[in-house]
Amino acid sequence: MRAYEIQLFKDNKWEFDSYINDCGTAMAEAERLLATNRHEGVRVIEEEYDPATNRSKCNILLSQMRKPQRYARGPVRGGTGRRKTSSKRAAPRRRRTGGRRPASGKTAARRRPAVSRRKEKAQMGTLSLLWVGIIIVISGIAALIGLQEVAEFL
Amino acid sequence: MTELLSDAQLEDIGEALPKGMERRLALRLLTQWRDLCAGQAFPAFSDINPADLDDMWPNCFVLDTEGFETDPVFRIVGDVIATKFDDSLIGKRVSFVPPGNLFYVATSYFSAVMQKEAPISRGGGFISEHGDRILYRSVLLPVSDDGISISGILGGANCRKMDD
Repeated sequence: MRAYEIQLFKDNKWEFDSYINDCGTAMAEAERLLATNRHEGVRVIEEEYDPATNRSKCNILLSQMRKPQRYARGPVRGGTGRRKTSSKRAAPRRRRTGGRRPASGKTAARRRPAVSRRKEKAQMGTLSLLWVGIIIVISGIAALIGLQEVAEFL
Repeated sequence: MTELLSDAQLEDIGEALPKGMERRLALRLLTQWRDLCAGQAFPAFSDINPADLDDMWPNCFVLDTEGFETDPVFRIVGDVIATKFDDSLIGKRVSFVPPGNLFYVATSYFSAVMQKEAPISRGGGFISEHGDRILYRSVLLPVSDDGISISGILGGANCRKMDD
């Protein structure tokens, strides 16, 4: 007698989820569970029970863990390829990687969107030009005053 | 006695669903059950809303196991699945159903559900009392009112006649 047990990886251990007596259905269900990305891992165990000996043989047909979340994140620019990840999913990933330090000012600035960075650059350029203009005007005025003084002296 | 087969009755309900969507009733019901659990071991009967089960509900039945652990009682039988049996099964024991019937094969493993306290799905074939070969899929899902002990079973099943 054969049965297929679907197990889900939860809290660092495999827990049974359901029993299905048809291999194809069990595998399809396991694949579907993996595709939902709601479970850390899914596996299918084939259990063959022999009533004569009262023994059962187990065989792991499928054992797959969820793909790392970092692949789920799309590029910042463009935005269309970006996938939303819930905070529930993000939390365990941080734990697995040993925790992430809070972002410093530099890294936070680096993460700012490209559009705002371009705006900042443009503003900085305008300000620099303004300052150069002011300096030139002041220098000009000073030069004129200086020349007048020299003329009076002579 | 049992009028099991007519082409309309045997039409797999999943066939009408859009391509790419899970068509198997047993798996769709299992998914719904998992959603109803919401982190608990079992959902409560009050969590089950027939409207949420859409087109699955007519193929569902509910067994009461509280006080009837060895021979549950049919409490609800969906409209479509009810046509697989001549008499009304409401209030009848599981042992009342004779072999060669969808209800018989779909409820035959209720004790395994009680023992394992987990959903079990079975499918396969059986010979109806009219001698036809029938393919079926079924699922039994434990339900608990107190969240600890199983107080009932939500079942779902469908079948079709095998072509000769």
